Amino acid sequence: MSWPPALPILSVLVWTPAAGALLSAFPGGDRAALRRKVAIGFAALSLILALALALTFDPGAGPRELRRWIPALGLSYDLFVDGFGSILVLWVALLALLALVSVGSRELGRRATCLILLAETALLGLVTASDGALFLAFYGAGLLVLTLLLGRVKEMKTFFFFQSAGATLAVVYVAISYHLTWIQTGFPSAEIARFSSLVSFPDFQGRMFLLGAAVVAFAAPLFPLTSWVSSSTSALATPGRLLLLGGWSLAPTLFFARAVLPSHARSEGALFMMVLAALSLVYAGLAPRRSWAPLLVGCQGLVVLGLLSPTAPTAEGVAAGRAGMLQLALALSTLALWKPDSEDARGPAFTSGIAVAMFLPTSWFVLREQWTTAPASTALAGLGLALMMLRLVRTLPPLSRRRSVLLLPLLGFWILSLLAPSRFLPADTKSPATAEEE
Amino acid sequence: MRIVAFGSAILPLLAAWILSSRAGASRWARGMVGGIDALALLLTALLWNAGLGADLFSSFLGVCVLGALTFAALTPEPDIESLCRLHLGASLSIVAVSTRELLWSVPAVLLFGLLVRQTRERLVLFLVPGFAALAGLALVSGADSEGIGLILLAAGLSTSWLVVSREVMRSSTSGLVTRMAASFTLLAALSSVHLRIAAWFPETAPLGTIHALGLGALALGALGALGATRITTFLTALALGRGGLVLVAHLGGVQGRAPSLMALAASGASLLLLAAALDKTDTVDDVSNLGSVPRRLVLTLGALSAPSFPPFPGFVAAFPLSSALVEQGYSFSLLAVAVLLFLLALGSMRVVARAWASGRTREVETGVGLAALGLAIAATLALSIAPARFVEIARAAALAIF
Repeated sequence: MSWPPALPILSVLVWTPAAGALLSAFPGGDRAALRRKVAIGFAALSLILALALALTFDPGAGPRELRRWIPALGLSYDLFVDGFGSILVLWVALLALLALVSVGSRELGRRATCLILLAETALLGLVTASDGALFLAFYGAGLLVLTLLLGRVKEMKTFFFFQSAGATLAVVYVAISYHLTWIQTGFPSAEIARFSSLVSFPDFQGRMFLLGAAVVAFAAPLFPLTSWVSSSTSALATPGRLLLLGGWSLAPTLFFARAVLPSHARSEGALFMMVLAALSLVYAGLAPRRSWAPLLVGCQGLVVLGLLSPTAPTAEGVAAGRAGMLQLALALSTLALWKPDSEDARGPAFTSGIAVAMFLPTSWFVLREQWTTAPASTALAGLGLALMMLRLVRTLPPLSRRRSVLLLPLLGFWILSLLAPSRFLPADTKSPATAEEE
Repeated sequence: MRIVAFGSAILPLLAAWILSSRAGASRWARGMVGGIDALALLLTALLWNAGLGADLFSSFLGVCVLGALTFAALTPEPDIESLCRLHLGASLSIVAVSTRELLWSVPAVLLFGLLVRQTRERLVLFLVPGFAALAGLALVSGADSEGIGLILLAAGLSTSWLVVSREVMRSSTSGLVTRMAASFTLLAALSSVHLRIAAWFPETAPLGTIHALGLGALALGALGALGATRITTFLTALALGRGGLVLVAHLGGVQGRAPSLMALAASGASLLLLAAALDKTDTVDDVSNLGSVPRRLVLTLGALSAPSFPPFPGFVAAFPLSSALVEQGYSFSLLAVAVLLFLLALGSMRVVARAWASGRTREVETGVGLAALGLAIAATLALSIAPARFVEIARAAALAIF
């Protein structure tokens, strides 16, 4: 089913949480319950819209909204979702709703409520934006919102340092691609899909790949650029932690997967990036402290290894890499329900087993793929991964009943992501089932 | 000298005369001054293609100067003399941006510098580059040593702007908005001279000098913003940084003119908003006491548009600007600009983080004022959310440099 052209479904979806943020700013300090109801209402509305979008998604006609934003500069307000995008918008909408319901109205102030909804808008915009400038606009907005959500000066400054370094490199990457598009096609454009068709010399491709990789290394982050993670996650309450680990952790890898990899997948810099990713996993396995930094870094290392797998240039490889991104975001969100750096965190629990299980399909895929081409770095990564899993099972405490309830939708979403592999195929690829029917 | 200069330059003079009269401090006089400035702004905007001799380039810069002037006039300012001097300076700036004669524009810029109250030591620092610029003007006019003359002219004018900008921001008697408006109107005048020189002398334009001065100003601004503890130092650093960016944009050749104008307009909005939001704060730590949410929002908007941070005003200019710089062979300079803008963003975030830090007792509940709110909304709409019309005007203005 396709949506009527008169209904800008993607804009409605993206901007609904922002409208909710505006409205939830009105109820004063003593009307926290009303504020929470308004915020949850808007988050639920955007979840319903995302659900409708995902359920009615037609692989041949993904909804697209293309308006001229700055025609003189060739920049467009271009929103589009493919199968993967339809899953991601559903995930972001679910995550924001979970963040709002994860704490009571007294724990969630006016500012945090508004910022959570604004972060949802920024993340939905990131997932749907097809124009490089628009993508960066949402990226910058999301970065600022998450910075403000931290609330402490020192943590804000540290987080902003690493994230804005990544954002600056992303701006440079898009600006260079914009210039190349202008030179090679005769008209300016920052459409991300065009970047892959640009012609350039191999050494230039290598530099551009490293530029894109640096975005991930700073913002994802990869080892050794990790110093912001523990302080940031400690400063955040559960809602902010959910958004940071489950939502924002997707942003840099999404940029990498959408803007960098299609153009420079077979670059020489890929080997360097793979080694960095393997080292990130080793760091995750060997880090002595119970902290978020090794976990996040390990997960991002695994995601990068998945995206750079030998089969990545093929449709199935892309789909597997994308599935890995989402499943690790889910696993991180599950872990975000626990309190980090807790000194009384002891003993294995059934729920921690679930969190670890979420890592397994992606880990298996990544290690199997990498083994054929780079056995040494794969062995290193596998060792790190095994140690990380072991540490997770040993240190995570049992969840409270309320938190366990929150775990259920995450688990459901994870199973859904395993059952719908065709949704992760690139937009111009037919699912194997459809191809067989023909 | 065209008609735009007469209309737009004389009205600020009239406003300055009212301010210098005995009744200058009264409410009605301030209202009159605000009205006159707004009228001058409106007249200049309406002169667009009116067939009266005004070109789009002059009108664009005239609107920038008069917009800053009107904003300063509508903001409470305790020191009437500073406001009066600002009006005189704006009048000179209008002359500088409107004339096609270097013999008019260069002295106008230098005279503006003399209007600023400077200490004797600082005056020497200003006079040396000022005389260098005049010597350059003499050489260019004589047409014997055009190349050296242009270098002296560009270096002298830019250095005197750096000195004056720093000095004007250090003035302790006037409000931050008036000071910032003075710094910005001078920058607009300087930009017009640079852009015209680049258009008139494509072969001998002193691009190397502008390059070095632009990157130097941007570096000074970035490092200053990172280390500043006083608000005036912080604002001076951001003003220098933005000025440096505008100078670097001049290197982009014909393609770089439009982004340069866009960057200039965004600089004006950003710096004035920041000055309005930080008025009556002394140190960077004082920002933690700001209680008014609109004031903190305006502060965030101003502070993050200074480094062209996405999606704030000035960000969209980054794409054509980068393209123009790469096209002219300044790829490494572009990377340097990116690094320096990143540092400028970090410096801006120091202030923004303090403004939004939770768990603080916020004592200053004073709002930011209607003028600043109006400018913030206008800047967000015209430069960030729907900038298509603004970009078209900037491109048309850039093509109209004669």
